[in-house]
Amino acid sequence: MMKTMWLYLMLRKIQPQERTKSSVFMSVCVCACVRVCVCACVCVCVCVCVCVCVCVCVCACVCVCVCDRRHPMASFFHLFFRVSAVLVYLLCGLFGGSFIACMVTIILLLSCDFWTVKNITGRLMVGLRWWNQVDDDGKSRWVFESRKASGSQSSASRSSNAESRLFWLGLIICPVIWVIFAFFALISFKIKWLAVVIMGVVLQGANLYGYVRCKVGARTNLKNMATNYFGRQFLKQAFTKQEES
Amino acid sequence: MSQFAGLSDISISEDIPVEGDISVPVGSQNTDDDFSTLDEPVKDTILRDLRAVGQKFVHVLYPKKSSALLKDWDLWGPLLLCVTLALMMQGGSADSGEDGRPQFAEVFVIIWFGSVIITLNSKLLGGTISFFQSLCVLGYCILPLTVAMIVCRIVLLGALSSIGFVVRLIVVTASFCWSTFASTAFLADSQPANRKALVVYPVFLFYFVIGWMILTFSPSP
Repeated sequence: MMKTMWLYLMLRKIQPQERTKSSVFMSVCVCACVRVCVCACVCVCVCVCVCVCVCVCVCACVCVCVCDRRHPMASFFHLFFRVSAVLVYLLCGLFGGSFIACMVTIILLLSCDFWTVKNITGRLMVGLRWWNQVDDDGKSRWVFESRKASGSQSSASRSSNAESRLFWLGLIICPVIWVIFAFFALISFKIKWLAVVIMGVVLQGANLYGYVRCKVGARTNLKNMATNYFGRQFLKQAFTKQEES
Repeated sequence: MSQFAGLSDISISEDIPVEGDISVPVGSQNTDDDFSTLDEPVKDTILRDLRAVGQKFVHVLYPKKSSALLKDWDLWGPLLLCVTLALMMQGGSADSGEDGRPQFAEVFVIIWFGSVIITLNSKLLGGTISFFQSLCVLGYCILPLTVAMIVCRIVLLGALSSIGFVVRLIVVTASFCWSTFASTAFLADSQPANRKALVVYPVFLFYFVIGWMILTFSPSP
């Protein structure tokens, strides 16, 4: 603990002025987590700890590089659970280790990721939210909400472009990775891992679908959006060809 | 009749502008609620969800008919109970693999697949409850059986085998009855009166299978 405090003070002293407090905080967190994980290595499966350390470092670096961020902790947690679930699956598949510990770890990480992305990072980073509402007569319906862009909002609550890009990248890439894992698990007949992989695909795919529907909005649906996009592209090309000729 | 005589050839000239204002009243209450939850601090979200999970556990322990439980479903409780039950069944009897692989996945698959089948059954019979609400109720009502599993493992630490078996039998039977009663208190209301037995029977089987797995659990020597 004393060492961590000392490290924090030294980093504060030698940092250039334009580095913000949160990047220092992030690097200190990384060091603290590495120390905790090194201590915990004794009792828990080694590959799980290695994954978690690597993941913390990767996420911290990515978040530090995103300069213009208003919610650093939200960005960190958005990536942390997803990337660590993928890494734990990869390393447990490659190096073995206890199947049950890996399965329980991946399941808990996937559920935490689902809850965090659905309830916290979505509304903080891009101002979108989706949930299921049950009316009084027992009918359930899905509600997709997006923050309306209004001038009266304070700048603190608006999210930056970099955060929004980080959010959508993290949201799209991970379900694709889990689908690839499902494909490989089917081909190599690793049926015991299939349960975990299917859970990953379902949970992360559900978040992706919910947020895409929030973004697109209640009025248009995906088909209309695709038609409009391609129609616009076609018209653009037609006009540029006409101008050239 | 004569007062309507001249009305048949009335026409409006086309260059009179027709104007007006059509406005649809927007339900602003919903958007105010959403913005208040869109901007709430993170601690509030976490505490709200934790309180909801805690309330449901209390409802299972003292089952009384309340529709408030069903409205706000979540699957955290079922996940935690399922993982706890599956982990406690490790270190089990001879038909497991070297690190108990079939037993862990077996418990998981039985609980989730069984819940899905019961939900489909109740929906096909014309129930008004939604898919996830039903999963939520069935998952939370596994709590008494999880408590029975803990008690059984404690009893198995002792050396007396026949008295231990009788104690375990009583505990498992009591918790099985409790689980079935708690879940029917929530599920049976959503069905028409002549179909209640058809819905309760699979729930009875489901908890019976879980209770059987708990009763026949014996730790490896």
